[in-house]
Amino acid sequence: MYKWYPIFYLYMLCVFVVSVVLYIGTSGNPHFYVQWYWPTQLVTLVIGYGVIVDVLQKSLHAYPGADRAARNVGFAIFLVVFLWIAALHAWGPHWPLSRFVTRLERDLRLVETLFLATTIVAVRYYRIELGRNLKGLAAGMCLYVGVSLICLALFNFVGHRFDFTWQNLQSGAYTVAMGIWVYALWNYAPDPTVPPDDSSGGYSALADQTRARLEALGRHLGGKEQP
Amino acid sequence: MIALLFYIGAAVCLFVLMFALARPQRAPVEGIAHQFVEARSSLQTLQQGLLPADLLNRIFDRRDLDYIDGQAAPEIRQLFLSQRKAISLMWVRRVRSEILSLMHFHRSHSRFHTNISLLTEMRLALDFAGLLFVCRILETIFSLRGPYAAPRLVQSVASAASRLCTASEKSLAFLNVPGVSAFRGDSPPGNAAV
Repeated sequence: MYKWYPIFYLYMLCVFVVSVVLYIGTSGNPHFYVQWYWPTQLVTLVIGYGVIVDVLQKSLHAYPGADRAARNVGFAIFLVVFLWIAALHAWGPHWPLSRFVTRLERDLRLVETLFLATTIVAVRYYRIELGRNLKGLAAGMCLYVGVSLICLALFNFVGHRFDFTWQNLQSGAYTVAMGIWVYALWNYAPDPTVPPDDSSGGYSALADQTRARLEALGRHLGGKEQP
Repeated sequence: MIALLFYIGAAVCLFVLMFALARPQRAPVEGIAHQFVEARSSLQTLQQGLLPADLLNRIFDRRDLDYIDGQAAPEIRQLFLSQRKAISLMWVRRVRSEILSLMHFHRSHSRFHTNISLLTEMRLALDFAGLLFVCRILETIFSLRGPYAAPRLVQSVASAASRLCTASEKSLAFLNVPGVSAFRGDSPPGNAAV
């Protein structure tokens, strides 16, 4: 499966390595986790973007029109929201570092949410059928990103009182997402719809049929055959 | 608080979409002639059967009702109104189903075009959605208040549908095989002109 979804497996590896390093580091130095949690979280978030873009590409690669529409909308949203976030952080009030990073992560999760939503809307709008692998990948990402967004929004609103619930909710969502990914990526399942080599294939078939009927009609009438 | 609701709303929308993605959908089979023929037939039905002004005037002309009012008994009036209502409901449902068929064709065809215009796609999507919505409203009005309740809305649906037909006609223009026009319906019996 690695050769079909390399970015996703890189993401999983990154999450695993970060978790192990944070676990080992914290056992030696109690401040290690606090110091390194947010920077490593941002790294996994960036690779998470890669997974979402990969899902978009693989879902729509056989449909250039739908791909182009979804990509344009997705990147437009990305640009607008990213500039908006940059402006807010540049001219907004100066928060302490941990608060700043949680707000930044929340806003980046929002961009991820919008990107995922655009992909799903394009898939539904253009009536594209996805295979089990891609459906599972997207569903797992939706669950994890959605729960993370809610947790981060609540954390920014409620503060550290929400720490315990946040940790449990996010870990729970990640575990469920892992379950979905294991089920969906157990073996390779290609997309069920195989598009034709060119979109005029249907027309060629139609023209051939019409020509055959015209010839038959010409023979039946005993007159001159149509060219 | 508003920001919190906004972020939670975005996440909830994502969950809804996630369930929509999980639902199986009947994807159209690509590139088969049937699709094109169906779309072409919808276009012809709309342009020649459902949207011509003559037909609209015939169904929705109030003078018919005025004539019945002046000439016939109230029972005849009731009968006329119920039959006209049934016809107008059939008309609006048929228009809606043909528009849906054109919309499905457009979606399944445009996804292959690399030179797709996002603006045109969005405008068309809005036009289709608006038209389908207005058809539903017309259906409700006809059911509740009879066939003569919204003459302007009928006209606006007809003209909007005509505009959509013109747009769809361009994508189906290649189906107008020149040789087919040689079949004329005006040949005398026993002497078919091909």
